[in-house]
Amino acid sequence: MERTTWRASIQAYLYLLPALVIIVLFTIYPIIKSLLISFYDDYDYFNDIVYARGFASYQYLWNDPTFHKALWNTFVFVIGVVPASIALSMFIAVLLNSNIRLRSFFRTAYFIPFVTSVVAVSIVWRWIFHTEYGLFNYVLGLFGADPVAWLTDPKWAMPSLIILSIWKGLGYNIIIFLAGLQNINEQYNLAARMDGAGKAKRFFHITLPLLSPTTFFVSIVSIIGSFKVFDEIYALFGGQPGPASSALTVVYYIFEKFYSEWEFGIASAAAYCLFIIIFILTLIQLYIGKRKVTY
Amino acid sequence: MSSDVTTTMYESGGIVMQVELRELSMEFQDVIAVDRLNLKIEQGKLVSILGPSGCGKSTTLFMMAGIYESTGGTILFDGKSMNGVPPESRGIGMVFQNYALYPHMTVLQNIQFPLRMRKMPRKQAMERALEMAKLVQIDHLADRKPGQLSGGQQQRTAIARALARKPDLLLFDEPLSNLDARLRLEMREEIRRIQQELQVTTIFVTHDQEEAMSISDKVILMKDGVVQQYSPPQKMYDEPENLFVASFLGSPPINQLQGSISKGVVSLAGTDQSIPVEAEGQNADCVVAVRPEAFYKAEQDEFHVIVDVELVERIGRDMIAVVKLGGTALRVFLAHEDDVHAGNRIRLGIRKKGFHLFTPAGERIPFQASWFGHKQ
Repeated sequence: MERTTWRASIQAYLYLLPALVIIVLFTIYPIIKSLLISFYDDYDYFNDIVYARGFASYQYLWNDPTFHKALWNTFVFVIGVVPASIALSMFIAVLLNSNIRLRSFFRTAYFIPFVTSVVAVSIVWRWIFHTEYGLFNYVLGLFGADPVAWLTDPKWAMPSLIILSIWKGLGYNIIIFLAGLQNINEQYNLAARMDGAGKAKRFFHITLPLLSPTTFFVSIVSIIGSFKVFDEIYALFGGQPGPASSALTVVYYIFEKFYSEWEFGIASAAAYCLFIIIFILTLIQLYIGKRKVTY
Repeated sequence: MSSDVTTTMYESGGIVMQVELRELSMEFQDVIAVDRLNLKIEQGKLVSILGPSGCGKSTTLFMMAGIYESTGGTILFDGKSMNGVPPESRGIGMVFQNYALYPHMTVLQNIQFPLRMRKMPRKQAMERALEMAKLVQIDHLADRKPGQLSGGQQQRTAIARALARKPDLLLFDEPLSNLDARLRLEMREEIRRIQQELQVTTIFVTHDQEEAMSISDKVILMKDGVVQQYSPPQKMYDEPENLFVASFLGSPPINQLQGSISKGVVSLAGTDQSIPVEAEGQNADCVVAVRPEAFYKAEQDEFHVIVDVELVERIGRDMIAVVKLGGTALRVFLAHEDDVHAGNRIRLGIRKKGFHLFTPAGERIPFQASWFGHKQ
């Protein structure tokens, strides 16, 4: 090891400086500033004068039924998307990992949603979900089901959003799972076959445990991503948080408070609530992961 | 202790199996890896498949395991064709080259795995796994994960796992190649001990002749997908059926001299010396193959060839001399007390046992050795 000298350190800091400036300016400063803003009770945005500091914003959130609804919707969304997305993408990854025809075609096909813009995707899905002309209702109609008002019925807005998000997230998760599957030595599979394990048993006893580090990574990334859902809602419901705010999530709530209502203190406080929720959940996951993902 | 284990384990009979290969072939795209193999492996025997890399030995093993589907021919277990039977239903135990222990399970869980897959009750599986761990002497490591074991301990675990569900057939795929020299010796004796205790039919693939020679009841020597010889190891060494077998076995390798057969003698190319041998053929070219240990320092009154000593190496109890005979260098084992030095011209006698004649194509030529020598 080279000894740390001032000369070498300063040189290294110089190389790090450009990236550091950008991170401090656009990430670290806003994080600190928004924490401070969340404690501004009375604030003149244009002249940047704070008249009063306190916990009023947090108090407001504590009592605001809209915020509670946003929280509730976000949890419903996370629970609706993450497990289904992980299970489905793992299933597809296992299929794509086996020797099938046109494998590379399918790999590309599943990855396309991930690289396509959310707005473009949402326009297509708005058509698919359309009550009168949509593909979904057409298919349902073939089975004799009544048309569903996917995007306009408050009851169906959240399921529609969940379906779109699962589909949108598949590509990325599949790629990660495929990489994880290819890291598993084929010998374990062979050994399990020699030990008399059939296909299903090999999956549950060998593949699944050996894939657990990947599953762990995907679940953390998906949960964080799902808590932050915004663009899909904005695009799918045409700039509305769903009919009768039925798809209002925490980030959408923050967006509305900030840009529409100019309640900067409340928006910042809500952002910090979301941050703390994600932080605690990630800590829990890390704790579980440490105990389950060891071999 | 371990004999109790054996009886409890194998008391339900019918576990030793006879394996037969009929016209077994395997082609990969444009390469024939195994070419119409015919052989029978008797029950309860340990048979090695030996050969240089790429000779088709592992392919043959994988076909028996069912991992590869043969492109021709049949594998019969106790007379039953195994074509189309998947590996999981063949009742085989297998030890892989890199052991393939499940990294997320403890030693005991690894050994139990095949039992649990057979739906054996948890308690019974636990007891059996402990028995097996005792048999291979790793019961004190039962709760370790494979990552915490040494190579030899992993090897023992892999053997215990392969044996746990009383396989009819035990397959080893170069199991010792990842171990250091001392451990290799220890594990090969261990494998032999376990195999003899359990009397399970065992097939052992290796590229190491010493390994194959030391532990097998019989050896299958393969080259280019074809069996060269199938016989007990000592017989293979003493009576090689062709030049490849003769040259593959033995270290240092067998000496080869060009010669030609004429009336009653084989004349050695590049010299005026000859060896009295009765063999068919007139002026037919041949290869004279002599084991290094078949030479000895001869007396004046017996048959001998005259050679020039180039180099003498003393390695422990052995003395190896490199000698020149008509331009060909030969390696020769000499007795420790022989007073031989580089630059000497000496007389070498030949023992009849390590002397062979082959055609230039490598086929064995039958002959009658007719020289007189003091040593056999």
